Amino acid sequence: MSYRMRIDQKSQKSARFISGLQKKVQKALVASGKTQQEIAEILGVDRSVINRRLKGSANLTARSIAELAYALDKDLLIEFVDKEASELIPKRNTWTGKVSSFERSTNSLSHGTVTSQAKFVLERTGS
Amino acid sequence: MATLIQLCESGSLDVIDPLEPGELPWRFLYATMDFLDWIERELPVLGHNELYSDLSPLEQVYAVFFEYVSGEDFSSDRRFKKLHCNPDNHVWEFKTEEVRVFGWVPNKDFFVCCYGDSKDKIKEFDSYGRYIAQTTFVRNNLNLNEPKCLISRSYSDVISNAD
Repeated sequence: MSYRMRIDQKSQKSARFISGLQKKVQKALVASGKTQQEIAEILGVDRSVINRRLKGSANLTARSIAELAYALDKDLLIEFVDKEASELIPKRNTWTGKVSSFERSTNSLSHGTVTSQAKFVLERTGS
Repeated sequence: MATLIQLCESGSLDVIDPLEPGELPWRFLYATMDFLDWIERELPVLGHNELYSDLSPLEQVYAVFFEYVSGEDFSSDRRFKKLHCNPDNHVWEFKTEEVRVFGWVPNKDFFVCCYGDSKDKIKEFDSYGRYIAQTTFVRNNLNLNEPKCLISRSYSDVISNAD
């Protein structure tokens, strides 16, 4: 058994997208080698504005992302793709039995046991 | 003494699974029963400031757990870091915009969540030291095989990335 957080599908989608977007922005800045101060000077704003945009998702608007792309001399691409194509994440295991590594639990606080399937994956990964 | 799996079987720990059917884990997230109780009871009603984040505290924690389990890189944004104020306790934290989660690294790519709280509350009451001490206490009293935690602070020693 495993524990699943009580969070609805809509919230999950938003959480994954917004957090992933923030990560992409931060990675782009690191990859550019530019400092926050340099970005701020290109955009004509104070460095604290750039810092807030990078630290908090509330300040990460479509406009602020576009401006950052301008400052980094990059283009942006946003695309809506079919779920099947987008939700495949890297797989550590080559095991191709059941698609889910853990038995899903509908009771969110049920705990105390591990399925043989989960045990197999955990032992395999831990070894 | 017991392995993580045995501790799950005995009800001392459980595995947190933030993935969807069809997704497989890169890393593994465990939690104490007290931490799961905190997720159930306190996290959904934790104070939220929309000026900090578009996401609620519950969504923030879900997102960082998802990224941990799915093998995302954490080295560039410092959202998963060892606490320096008491480095010998080997306590790590997940950081979101409004929440902190404390725990330890029992093995590479494994993490045990122990306590969670609001970032603002922790700063207001200066609770970092208390949470580090409490996490260490829980770890010391858990019937886990030795060594109970990794002591390195280097990302490459405690997590591997999916890409």
